[in-house]
Amino acid sequence: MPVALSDRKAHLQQSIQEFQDVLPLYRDQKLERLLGQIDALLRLPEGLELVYEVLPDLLEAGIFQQTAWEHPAQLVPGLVKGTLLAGHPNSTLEILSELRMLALTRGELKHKSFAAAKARGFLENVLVKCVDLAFGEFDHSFWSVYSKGELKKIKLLFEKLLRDIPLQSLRSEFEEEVEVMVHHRAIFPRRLEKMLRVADQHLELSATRQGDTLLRERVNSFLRPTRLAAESESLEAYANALPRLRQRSLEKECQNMGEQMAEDGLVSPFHLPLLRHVAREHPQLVPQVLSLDAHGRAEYERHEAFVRLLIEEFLVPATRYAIYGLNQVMQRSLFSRQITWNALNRLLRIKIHPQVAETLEKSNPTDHQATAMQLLVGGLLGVLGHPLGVRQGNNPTCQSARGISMWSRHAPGKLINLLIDAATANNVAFRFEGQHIKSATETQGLIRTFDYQLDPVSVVLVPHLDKVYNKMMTLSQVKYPGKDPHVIVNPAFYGHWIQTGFRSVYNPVIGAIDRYDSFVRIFFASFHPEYNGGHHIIYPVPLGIFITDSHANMLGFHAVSLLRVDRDDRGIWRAYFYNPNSEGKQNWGQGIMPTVYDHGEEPGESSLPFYQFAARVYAFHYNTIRLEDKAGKVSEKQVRKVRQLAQNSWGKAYNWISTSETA
Amino acid sequence: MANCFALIGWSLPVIESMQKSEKPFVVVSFPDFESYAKEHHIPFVPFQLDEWGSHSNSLGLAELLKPHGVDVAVPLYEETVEWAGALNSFYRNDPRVLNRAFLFRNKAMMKRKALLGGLKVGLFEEVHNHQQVHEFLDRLNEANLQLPGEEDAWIHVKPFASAGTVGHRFIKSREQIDQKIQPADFPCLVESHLTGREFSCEAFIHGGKVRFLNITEYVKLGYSNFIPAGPELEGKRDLIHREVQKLVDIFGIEYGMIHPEWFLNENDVLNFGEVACRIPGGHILELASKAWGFDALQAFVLIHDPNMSEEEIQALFPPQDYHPETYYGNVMVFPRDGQITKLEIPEELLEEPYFLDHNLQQPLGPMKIGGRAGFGNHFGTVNFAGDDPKRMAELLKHYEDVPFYV
Repeated sequence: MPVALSDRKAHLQQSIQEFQDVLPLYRDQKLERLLGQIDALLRLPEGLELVYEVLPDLLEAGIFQQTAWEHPAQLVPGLVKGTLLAGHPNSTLEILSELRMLALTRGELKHKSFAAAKARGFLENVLVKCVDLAFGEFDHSFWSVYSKGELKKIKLLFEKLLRDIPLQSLRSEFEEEVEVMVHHRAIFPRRLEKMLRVADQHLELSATRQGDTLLRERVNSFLRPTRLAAESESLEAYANALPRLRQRSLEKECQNMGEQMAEDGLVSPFHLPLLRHVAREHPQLVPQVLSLDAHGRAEYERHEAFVRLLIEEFLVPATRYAIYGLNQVMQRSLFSRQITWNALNRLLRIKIHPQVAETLEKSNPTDHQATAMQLLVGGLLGVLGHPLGVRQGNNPTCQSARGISMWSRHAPGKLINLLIDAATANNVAFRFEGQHIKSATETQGLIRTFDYQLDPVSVVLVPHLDKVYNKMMTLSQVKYPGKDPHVIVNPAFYGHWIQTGFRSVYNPVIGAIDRYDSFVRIFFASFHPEYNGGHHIIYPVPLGIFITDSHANMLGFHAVSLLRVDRDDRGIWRAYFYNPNSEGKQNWGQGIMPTVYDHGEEPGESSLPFYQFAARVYAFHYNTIRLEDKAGKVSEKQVRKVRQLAQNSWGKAYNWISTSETA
Repeated sequence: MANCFALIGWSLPVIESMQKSEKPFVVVSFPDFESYAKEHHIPFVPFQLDEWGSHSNSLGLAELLKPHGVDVAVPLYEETVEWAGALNSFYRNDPRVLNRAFLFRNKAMMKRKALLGGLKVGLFEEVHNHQQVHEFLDRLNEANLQLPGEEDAWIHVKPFASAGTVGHRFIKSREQIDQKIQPADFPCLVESHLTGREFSCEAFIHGGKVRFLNITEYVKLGYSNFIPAGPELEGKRDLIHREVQKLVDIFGIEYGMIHPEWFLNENDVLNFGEVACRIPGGHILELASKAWGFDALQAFVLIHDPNMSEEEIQALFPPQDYHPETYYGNVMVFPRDGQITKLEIPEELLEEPYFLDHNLQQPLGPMKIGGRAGFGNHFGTVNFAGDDPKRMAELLKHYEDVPFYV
């Protein structure tokens, strides 16, 4: 018996009325039930329209009051995806918030401080950030952690948004986002590939617009990397055409393919059949198709058999992205390091724990079948080749991601060793203050619902690292009350690369920001070459930063690593850092906008002018022995500039007791 | 009209109703609630309700309430019934009001009183250890003329003073006595199983007379119920009304609301289960408000006031001859035992015309579910409304078994 729309509407309006009439005391309970009703409606196309229709009444009744959605100006497009996937009631409120933006865009609603153009800009941004949701089929197994009804709500929302804001009108934002992702370069750029496919199918690109040209190049480099590929109807046809190529043409094909990959880090689906063909029939062409530099070529000469084995056994359609990883691993000469060599060879012979195998297969990012071992090895090549491409996904595990990235750069042996434990025993063990912490016996981590949309190494390691890290934090808090637990946990968790000095802006004993000026001075004196004697940083520096929104309001805490401090080609001193969250370009308010390209960044790096970066840091480790009297030489003017940025942003959320006293 | 009501305990819906009524009231509850009360301008007296002794007693509490001019006390949940009884004993100058409160708080005493007054109850006993439960079962089996090889009689074990189904153990065979009953459960009440269809009433009493009677149909105790009851139970309204009035007379209840549970057997005999005098679980008063079109929570409080005039009483309730046409029901959702990771609302629910709303939420993360106590730990409620009681009963029964959390 279908329900008449008029009945639904009458009931919804009655509930809104009841919610409006309720006294503040009982509001939450009424709100829960009203949202429960809206939740159900949002799962049906006519229900969504009905909700949209009564939106003005919902706003009038104050549905967003005392929620994170109250002020449109404080919303962040980059957070929408996570909230949409967080389930009811968060997802329901989030959808209402997008509907409000849509009504503002159309001029059906007015907001005193949020104009239609702003609302439109917000939605455009959301559409670009959520391409995988907006054009998602949700048929892949990793979507199964989310409830079907919730995915239905998301699908209906985006269908509605796209009717009003067609993709074609988002070209510039789309192009910008693609550039950011190309440079920020995740190990498996699932979202980027999705965007390129969407662009190919749904966008008309003009021949003259500059942005269009670049986007077209990206699309072609991925989907039609060579002329032969462009002319082939399918991957199979392409593979069949390869044996018929003359030597000269084949060489050219290898060269073009390799250069395309080296250019933007994208591995075209056509790359794999070419590489496999060449590895079997023309092994001397492997360096070209991998686009190896001199180091890489030397590595190939030394380890040809091993490389061909890796290609033959482990590079399959599901691990295609690892071709770029292999290129980078060889250029890092990792096979020639004895420890890495031993660890890798050990890894190739392990028997994967059935539960881990299941997890790996579940997180396979493609529609292609692959064995757990193929996924794991492909993932490892990706991580070893491109440590800055490790991402945390939708998980609150920036620490673990930072660890994997750092070990991959500085201790690949340690990383592979950990991975072997986790993959074979579904367990890892850490030493901490004389006791052993085993992840298998710990139950509590920070992760609630694990987002499997990560590289395979993270999929295997992060759930363990998360529990170990959490256990260390808990033990430290009990053992050293009143002390920042990171001081103790960071060296135990990451290893001896962590320097012995530690400074935090926050004094937990008095509950206030304490001695901020000396904090800034030490930060400059330790890492800024103009103050530390002209030196580069030796190891990456894990640091805690305050995350602020585009209005510089405090949002929360985050873990990043400072990698290097250098002058960009405009002569500005910049901090180059690793940020494990998936967003490249961000706006932290006060004009502080981290960039990922065009300012001297290596692929995967983010950067900011040094003083701006300093103004968001809340804790760091440094070398006490080499500090000497350098801190005193940082100018008052420099310190004041940072302090003002701090005090007018996250600093507003804290008490400050003294700024000037020196360390 | 009362000078000021003291609401003993904590219930936001009741406080909300009282704010709407604009009648003077003060909430007596644990000091933990004080800051919340202050923030929301709720008149409040902090009191450690779980301590009783020379430093914390009803005389002291009465003193604390004097500045507010309190003259009627209302218990909001099971554990505050004695406090309200003691206060009302002062206010009405009748020591037996307190004794009556004890009746509601000791299920053995309650049963004895009912038995003395002539209500039909099962066989029952107070027991102190497992051995005594075995002996009780022996005597019950003997009285049932059990032959060798025949099954044991069914018995129920209940704590003397707990709300609803908290601590209630249903024993269907002799082995279960040792398996299901924990040493910490003793002393407790043990009673024979009453047959018949279980339901509850909410009877609003003033001057010793039932002034309004709601009958709640249980589809499954502790999981689902709806109001008004279907035609079979409503058809027995006169019988039920008579029995409830009998209960009121036997217990000597003058003011307030009682929530007795009964079993109606096929011979139209009502077996008395038990009775409480606080707000019933299962959101029953909310359903009653919706169905009957009155504020049942407000009526619950105000009916405690001995000084209400006849007009005031009549204004509280729906007219005598009114019978609702729409049935309001709910299902309380309990996840199944085992691991749950997400909330999955079944699609058929969205197409269901009787479906109103729900307040279920996505769990914060995977969690292990095991066991439940009373009505306390349900994850949320799904609400329904419709015109056909038969369909309502089928729906509620159906959705009890649908896994909302998987």
